[in-house]
Amino acid sequence: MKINNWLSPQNFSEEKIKRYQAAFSSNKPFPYLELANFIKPEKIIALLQALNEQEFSPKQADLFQFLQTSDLLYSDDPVLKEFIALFSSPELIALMHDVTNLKLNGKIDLFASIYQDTDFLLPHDDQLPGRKIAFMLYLNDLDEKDGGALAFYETKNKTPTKISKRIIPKAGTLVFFEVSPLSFHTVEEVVIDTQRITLSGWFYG
Amino acid sequence: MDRRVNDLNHGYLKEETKQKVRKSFFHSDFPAILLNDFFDQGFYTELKKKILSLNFKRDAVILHHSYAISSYKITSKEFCDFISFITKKKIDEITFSAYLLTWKDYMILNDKYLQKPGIDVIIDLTDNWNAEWGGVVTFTDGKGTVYPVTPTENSLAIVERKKNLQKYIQYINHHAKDKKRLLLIASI
Repeated sequence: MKINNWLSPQNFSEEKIKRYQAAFSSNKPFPYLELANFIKPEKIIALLQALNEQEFSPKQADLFQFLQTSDLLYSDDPVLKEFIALFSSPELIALMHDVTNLKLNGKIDLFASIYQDTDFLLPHDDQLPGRKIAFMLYLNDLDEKDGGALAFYETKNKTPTKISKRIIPKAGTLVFFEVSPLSFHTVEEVVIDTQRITLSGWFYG
Repeated sequence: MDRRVNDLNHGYLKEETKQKVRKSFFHSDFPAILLNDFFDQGFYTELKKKILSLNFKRDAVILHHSYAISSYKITSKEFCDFISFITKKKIDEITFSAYLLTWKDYMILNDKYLQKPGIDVIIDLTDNWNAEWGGVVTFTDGKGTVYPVTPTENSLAIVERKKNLQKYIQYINHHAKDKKRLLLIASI
């Protein structure tokens, strides 16, 4: 697995990683980082083509409504297998550790999701045993007026109070945050006839 | 001049109908009934007018709900007798929570807000609501059994919530525009 096939090495110089560390730990309302152009544009196209062959099932409950694949760790698709190898690679795990200072064990979960008109994910913190970092890689662009923003909540006494940060999906951007009792977030309703396509999952530790 | 004779649709006052409804409610693995055109049209119109004139307060607990709420007591003898007959519980009056929900409102499940087993009585006062807009009262046992109560104006739903059965109200999406979802819900 050659990490440089997917990522631009200039984005991961020692100096930039130091900047990422500082940004991750100081970002509010809880530690997160937004990395634009995380993967090369040609890989975004390859991922979208690979996902076009995957089966997405409707997921609906009190908390959410969207389409999702099963765990992609079991996919036979060569592009997805390469992507999983990238995200499980010692180099990327080391990079995530360097930025977040969180101890990771190399295990990940990976799903693809599509949010369409009226789809949403209501506020929650993502906490489950072993989950250390939640991540999402956006595979297409949305405008602010389209909905579908990832929004982070400020908390008071570990209870979410108000949204203080919104991230608008942009193809190739990787967002990740520390899963903690404070990591309350939501995906705002998509309000136009479009698709919000992401690969998302968790790093475990 | 009020020319209304009954509070309920006269069809539901017939002994034969009441027996059928009670049998249907109790002789089911999932005791639940939904009765359409439940109130007499005049009573329904008056009830809706009274509910809309209540002082609703916005209430948002982000991890559980977002809606406007008030309360209203129904003392109609016909109504209470009907509920008593169906549920086999002596009821003289029922105090309902009145919920007013609009775009972005919801009620989700939360371990801190577990509902004790009981019988839920739900009166739907929303005219022309489309279930595709959300706002559907839904019962779930958390193991895959889901019972959505079809939104229908002037309907009465009675649902026995046994152990582990909880209810939520689906998130209301933007297709609802400025329409209001109006519900009365009580647990007896």
